[in-house]
Amino acid sequence: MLQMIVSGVALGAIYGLIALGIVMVFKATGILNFAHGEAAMLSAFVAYTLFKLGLPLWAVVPLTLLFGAALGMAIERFIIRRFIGKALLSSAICTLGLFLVFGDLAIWVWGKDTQELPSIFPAAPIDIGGVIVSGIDLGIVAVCATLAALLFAFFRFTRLGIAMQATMENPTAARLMGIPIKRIYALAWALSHVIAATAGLLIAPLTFVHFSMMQHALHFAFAAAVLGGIGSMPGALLGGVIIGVSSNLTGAYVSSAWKDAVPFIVMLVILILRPHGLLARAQIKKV
Amino acid sequence: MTKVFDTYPWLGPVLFVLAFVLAPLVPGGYVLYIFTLVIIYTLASFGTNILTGYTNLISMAGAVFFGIGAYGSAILTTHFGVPLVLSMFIAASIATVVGLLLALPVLRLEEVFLAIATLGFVMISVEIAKSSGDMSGGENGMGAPGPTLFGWALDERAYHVFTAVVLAGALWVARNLARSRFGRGFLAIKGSETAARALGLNTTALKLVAFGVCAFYTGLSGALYAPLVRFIDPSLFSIMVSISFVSMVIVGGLGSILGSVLGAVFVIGAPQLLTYLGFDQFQRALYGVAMILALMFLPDGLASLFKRKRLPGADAAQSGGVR
Repeated sequence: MLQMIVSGVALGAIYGLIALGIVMVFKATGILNFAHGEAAMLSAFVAYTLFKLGLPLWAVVPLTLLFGAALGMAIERFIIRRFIGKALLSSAICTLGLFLVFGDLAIWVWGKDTQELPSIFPAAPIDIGGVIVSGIDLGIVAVCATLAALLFAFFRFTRLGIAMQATMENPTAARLMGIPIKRIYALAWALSHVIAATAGLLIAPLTFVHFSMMQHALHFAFAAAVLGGIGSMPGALLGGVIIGVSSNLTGAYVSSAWKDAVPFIVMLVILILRPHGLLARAQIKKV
Repeated sequence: MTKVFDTYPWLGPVLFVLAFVLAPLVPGGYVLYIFTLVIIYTLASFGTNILTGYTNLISMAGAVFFGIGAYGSAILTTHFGVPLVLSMFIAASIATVVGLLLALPVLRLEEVFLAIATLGFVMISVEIAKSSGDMSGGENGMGAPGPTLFGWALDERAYHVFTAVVLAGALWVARNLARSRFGRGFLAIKGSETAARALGLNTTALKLVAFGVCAFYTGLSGALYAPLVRFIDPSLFSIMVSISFVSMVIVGGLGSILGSVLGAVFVIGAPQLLTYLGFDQFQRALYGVAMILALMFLPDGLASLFKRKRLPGADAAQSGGVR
């Protein structure tokens, strides 16, 4: 039972990371990015290629994150910028278009075969107080916790982070205060894609590298983002953990056929009880 | 090009209808199959438009209703010997009831929350379809009998005409609905739900009606789909199906009859055309690029290419008057 929970937390942490990226982009630019998972998939493929070229893993990781940042900025600059401030649905359908493009791009460049990418963490099981945890799971949780702490510090203590928060709250006021909001938009996309690349690197040893490796995780990530309240970044991580654990427990104790559906039932129940998600404040609407 | 359509605003729709009327004359069944498919998807597109274009409720549950329609009609005709037309009506009604039941708990959710909650319905329904019993064949899917009308088997051409007639009837009903107090109510909710409630409208009931109408149309679309393809499986309950319905409405144009049709033509036609032209390998990518370009340059949908033809109710709401 505890083992299942720990591996559920590890899986959920990855969902949470993807959800975090989705939430960041949504808060900063008001766009629901359906291509976020595919960006993680592309990053995983880039990491795989770099690894195949003979680079050591410690060099592959930063290069992959750099690729993520470049990809995010490119998407924002060339496509998304036109959709900022437009209706939610048209930008969402646009990112769905990107989703299709990325999927085919991956098939075109890397083919339909499943590839392997080793984890940066040792797979050897570690015994913590009677609970056997695989090193990979532990590493995933550690990375997610570190990343969450770094992001917290970034938004709390750096000028850039505070400027970004200001832009998320009120773009017009932020611009009037002299914050270059276009650069903030680009930064939000770059940062969210760095997180996506991290998620891709973390999930690759579990799912293998494949053009459809993230589609499953993307549905869960959206559920996680909404569960936490789409405006809350800690909520996204919490949502991810809830989704991951409920999925794992269902798979272990109920039936493996239902492990994809039960997280959504959990999500629906929570949404019915708290229509704005777990951690987001309810917004009061002006007429 | 557009000038011609400006001078003769009826030209676009007439050419359109003509294409569908002439489609059965094209030799070889494939072209006709695509045209019939477009008609069937237009129904779903129109249902989605009532929910999203009129009432501004974003639902990803389209695949649930589509699947229920298809499975319902196939099961009723195969296992209970119900005549096809009646089975379609029953299946669409079941979809409506399910739609109303699903809508009840999620109605107070907004925008993204509603979209993802309804996406959850799809994820749950696909598992139900996979694990369901002998009647629906579980994961293997089931065969659906070909189209019949009052005991006579319909060939592809006759079925094309049949679907076109159903679509025409459905559009007529929808047009009248849009002009009724329901249609005006939907638009009021789109404008501002709080304001609509302040005016004394029962917004909960209106949103339920919108959901029900969407479910009925989408269910009917599914019921028409099953006899066309003659084989259905749980992949009907896939998120991609829901997404294709929503993209039809967005790419075509929100709140527009012509937009619903153009959206269906685009979403069904573009991938087929790309395959036909030999871009098999990059079909999905090119389709994605086409979608992005369409949204970039025609943010109000393909319908804005032609003279802006909004649904009758939409004009009334814009000018603030009610006929």
